[in-house]
Amino acid sequence: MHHFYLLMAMFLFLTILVGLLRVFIGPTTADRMLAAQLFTTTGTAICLLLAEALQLDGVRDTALVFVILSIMAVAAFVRRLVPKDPGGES
Amino acid sequence: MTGILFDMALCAALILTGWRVLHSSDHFQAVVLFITFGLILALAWVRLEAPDIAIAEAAVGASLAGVMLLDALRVMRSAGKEHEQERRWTNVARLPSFHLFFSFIAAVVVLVLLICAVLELSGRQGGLADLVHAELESSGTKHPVTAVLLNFRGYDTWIELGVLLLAVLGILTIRECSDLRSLAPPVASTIVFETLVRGIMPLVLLVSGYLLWRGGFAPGGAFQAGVVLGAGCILLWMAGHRSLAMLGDATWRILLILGFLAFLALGSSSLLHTGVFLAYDRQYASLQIFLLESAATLSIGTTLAGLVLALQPLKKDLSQANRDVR
Amino acid sequence: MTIWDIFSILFCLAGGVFFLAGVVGMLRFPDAMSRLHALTKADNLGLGFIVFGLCLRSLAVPVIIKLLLIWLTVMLASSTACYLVGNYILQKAEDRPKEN
Repeated sequence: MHHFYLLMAMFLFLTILVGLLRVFIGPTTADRMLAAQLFTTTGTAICLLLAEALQLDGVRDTALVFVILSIMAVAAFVRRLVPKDPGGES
Repeated sequence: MTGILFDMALCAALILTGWRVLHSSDHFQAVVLFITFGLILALAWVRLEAPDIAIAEAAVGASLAGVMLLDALRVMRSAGKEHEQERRWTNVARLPSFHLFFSFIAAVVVLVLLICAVLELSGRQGGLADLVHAELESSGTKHPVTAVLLNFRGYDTWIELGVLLLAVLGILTIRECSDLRSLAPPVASTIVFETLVRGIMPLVLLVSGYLLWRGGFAPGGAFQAGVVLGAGCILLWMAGHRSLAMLGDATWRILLILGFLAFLALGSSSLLHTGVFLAYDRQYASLQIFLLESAATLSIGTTLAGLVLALQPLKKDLSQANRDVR
Repeated sequence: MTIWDIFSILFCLAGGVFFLAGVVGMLRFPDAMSRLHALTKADNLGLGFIVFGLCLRSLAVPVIIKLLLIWLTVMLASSTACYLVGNYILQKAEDRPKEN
């Protein structure tokens, strides 16, 4: 049984490797960011599968941290540092 | 067999992404690849059965560093300095030759010192794991990693907190401000993101406390809890809430030095009582470690959030820019 | 091997199929907006099936609660992330005619 979960984790990791192609070819920044978002979710799934395969409970906490912080990169990407129209109120 | 194949795939992916981070022509691509690199490295730590480091790597390498790099990229773009920087980075050979000479000498000296240090090692078979497990009973905690970090090598952890403190002081000095109140206020985000942060913040705090509590007997601990706490502060900022920047001067300073100070206070009191720095009373070791970890969590969270947030534009720069536009 | 194990394997395989579909969509779809679509399927259904399969396997209440919490948070976070990126793409498209 453990073998199956390890194989499954490896399969998901291979999809990350294939998905890296989208980061390389782009073409827009949004495409690359979306690829990173997909990798985070896949990474979470790999963590959960590995937790089962290796019988390590602590790895589920790693997955939990992955998940709650996954939004940060995207939020930083779309955010504006200054209001859209700096001189707008005059 | 499957395990070896998986490990090889992990190594190959790490080398591939690491190489592309350094050699991609597009800065944004390099940032996304760096985030992916952090993620794969976290998976590698999981595979090595070290969830503690995996949590730290996922939080620092993939999230906090990602936010920092994206902000830095935006600052560079808005200043129009991207191309200038690019030239400077690619033409290392243009450095004056004495710079290269001195860095070469320094590198050789460090290398020789490292080789000497390795030769000095006693050559203990199997590392120090057996020793740690033998002494675990008396350390006041049930998790070997926490025992090493907070008890056997507490001195190192204390100095590390000092290094973090120095880093945030350095950045604030360069930004010419003493706390985060002189930063421009965050720009309001969309209502969707605001609602998400509202819903997710309790979970962030819960996970932070959970990791701190779990550090006593399982993977987790002060650093992991602190990183999650700091990330929560940054999330609040990005949703348009001022988080750390609302703190008064005194509170901000106390939060920054709390961890360092707790170690110092405990260390000096034990120095006075027993003559040994940072020696725990066997009876109260658990409680002392827990208090130290709690203080360190608050400080690490504040410091890391401060390091990332200090990249925001300053109030005075923003009003200057507005005047220029008009 | 009990009946639970067989169901667990089936659900995990179903999750794998959705992750595969997500990455194929990410590579094959023509523009960022449609790639967003592929991403959400992998996030919600792929992880959902795997979480469900692992729940069947462990049958311990704290683990199941943690797994479900992870899945719920992923659904919240990834749909928000996709909204943010979609919004960003739209605003870029709006800004462009003004710049020219």
